[in-house]
Amino acid sequence: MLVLDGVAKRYGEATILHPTSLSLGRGQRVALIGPSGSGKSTLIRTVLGLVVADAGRVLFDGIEVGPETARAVRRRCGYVISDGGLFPHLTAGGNVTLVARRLAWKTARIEERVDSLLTLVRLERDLLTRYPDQLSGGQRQRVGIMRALMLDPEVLLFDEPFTALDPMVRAELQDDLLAIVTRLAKTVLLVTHDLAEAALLCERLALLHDGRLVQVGAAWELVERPATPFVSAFVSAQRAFVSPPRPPDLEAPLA
Amino acid sequence: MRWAYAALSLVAWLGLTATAQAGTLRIGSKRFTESMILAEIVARAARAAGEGRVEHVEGLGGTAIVLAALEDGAIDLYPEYSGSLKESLLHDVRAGDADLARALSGVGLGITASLGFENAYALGMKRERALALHVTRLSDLAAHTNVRIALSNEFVGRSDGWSGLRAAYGLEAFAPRGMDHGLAYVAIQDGAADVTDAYTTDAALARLDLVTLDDDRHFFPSYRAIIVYRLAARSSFPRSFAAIEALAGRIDAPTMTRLNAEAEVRRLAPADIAAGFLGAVPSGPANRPSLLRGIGDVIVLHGPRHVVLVFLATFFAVLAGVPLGVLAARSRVGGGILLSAAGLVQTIPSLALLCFAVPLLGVGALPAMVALFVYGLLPIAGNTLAGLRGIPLTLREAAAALGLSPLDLLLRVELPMAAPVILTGIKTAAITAVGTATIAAFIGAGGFGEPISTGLNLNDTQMILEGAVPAALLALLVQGAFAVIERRMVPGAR
Repeated sequence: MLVLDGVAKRYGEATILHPTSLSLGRGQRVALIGPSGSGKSTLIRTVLGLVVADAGRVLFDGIEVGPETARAVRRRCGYVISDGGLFPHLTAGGNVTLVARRLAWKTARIEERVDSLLTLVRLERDLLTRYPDQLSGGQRQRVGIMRALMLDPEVLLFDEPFTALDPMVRAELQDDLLAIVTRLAKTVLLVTHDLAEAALLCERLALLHDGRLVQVGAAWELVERPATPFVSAFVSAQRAFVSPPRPPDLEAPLA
Repeated sequence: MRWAYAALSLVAWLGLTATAQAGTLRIGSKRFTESMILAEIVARAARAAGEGRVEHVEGLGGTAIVLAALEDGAIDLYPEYSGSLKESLLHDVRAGDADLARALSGVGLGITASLGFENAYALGMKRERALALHVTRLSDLAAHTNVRIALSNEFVGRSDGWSGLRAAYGLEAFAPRGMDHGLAYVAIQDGAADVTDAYTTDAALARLDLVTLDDDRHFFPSYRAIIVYRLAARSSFPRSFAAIEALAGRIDAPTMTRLNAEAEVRRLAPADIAAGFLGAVPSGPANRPSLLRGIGDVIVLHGPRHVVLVFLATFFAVLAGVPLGVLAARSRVGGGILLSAAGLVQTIPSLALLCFAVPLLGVGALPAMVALFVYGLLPIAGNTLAGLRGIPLTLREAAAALGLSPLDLLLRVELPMAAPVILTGIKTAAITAVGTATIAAFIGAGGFGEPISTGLNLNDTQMILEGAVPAALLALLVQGAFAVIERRMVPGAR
């Protein structure tokens, strides 16, 4: 479905991305993980033609992404960024239906689609008349996901979608998103620096470091068979919550 | 589309009211009392001939502007002085009358014989100051470098004005301040200046108790009062011109000084003074409305023109400025050049820009509108650019990722997001236009500036206020209207 073939990018002297290759079959879910500045965000943006690679090519369902084809490819992708990326001048509903209206969809078709999406992302209908700054962070992100799904795209691209959210909202959204993508069986490319999130939502993880793909595999492979010391360092930096030792019992009688 | 149509209709209306109509004799005047009184006298004499409509296009500005209006045919005649014509046409104020006649006929103009008086330049000095310093002649002045001189802008620029005078009398040590002639008198009155340029028939000489300093080196040239006209108009209105030419020799210097004093001291309207002079009605004290009533009259009379000028200039500035800003946001080089050009125009003083527009577009509403339009471009284009640049990269990418067409992207996402900033630019342009439009009266554009400039010339504070107050109110109204629009545009407040 999606083939990245030797994609590379430089900004002036700085190499952001060394030639990188990766391919996703239809319905596969891959997470690009790595620390900040590892090139994962640049890589996902080459798929949409938002970043034009200096070398290599991106094939979307066999179509090479370029200036001529970018628009058609973008219509077949849903793109979700941190905090929803909603346009402040449009209501939530206006954001969701913008492209469908420009494509002159019939009102009934738009309403039907919005109804099913509301159920899918578990959002109340009244919220659609609100402007983005009248919504909570979690609600904005649900609207952002609705907007990305509106045209029923074949590929979903998430660029650090949940970084702006507090842990409880984030966990709830992660669960909901997992339910959505497994049910719709979409091809998914997710960018995150959170190993747990990547492991929850995707079956394959691709770890980037300094613009190079270091290891691609299932989460357990990265944990148990790290390809380089960096992989183990990255894995062990993601610590599980361990309760600190209980303080000495203050109510015990003093000896 | 409907908006554009309405705007074009308004332009047509402005054009119709601004350009000469067939069968109308249009008499111009400069922006000072004597010129306006003479124009009224001429208009009255011409009307008596009964050949058609006679219109007085009041207070057009200095010689350059009125003469340009005459050559363009925007007016048919106006009162002038032989010296000013020689200076303007031959660049030699001391040229012979035969040379002047030749130069005039070369551009299709002619002049009447002298009306009967000369209005030469003179320097006037406060009497007590002159007595204290024993200054009676211009040659005495050089020794007193602490004397403060305020001069009209026109006098400063003329070769027969300050520059020639300075050389003839060795006055290099003085640094005179240039200002509007009416304001120079106010400066004298307030004690902020001791000496100013004056005309020998000037009523202010008596009113401000100024003595004219004797021109003992005979520097100032002759300024006979005459009427300059288009030869074509003379053949179209033969009887009117016969009546006008009959005025020659009828106004002597003491008479002219008295007529000037009637306007400046007794506050009579030029039309009433002209009527009194021609013996139609005995001129009594003017029956002036109260300030409040006067403001009301001005709003009714000049308000529509002012509002239409501002509205149209701003409308077209939006139509051109927003695309210019979009272009600047797209192409760094091309847009940068366009914006720098707009910025350069912005630095030209508004009065200068208005005067540049006159030779190209004549006098009246059109050049004023063009000038206001040009001033509106930069704030609108600049804010469009700033608004578009201010959209966060993430949102711009999110918009692009939707796969909208470039036009939809611009119209549905980018411009609406930049709209609050663009609106601020439009507000700046509109408020600037309200203010600048008052200056446009100097080139005959009408509006609230008309009572202001006439009031300045007649040194009439009430008349100045009658124009200034509505202009200020309009600026506040525009500000308020934009505040309402801005509040409605904030997402969620709808």
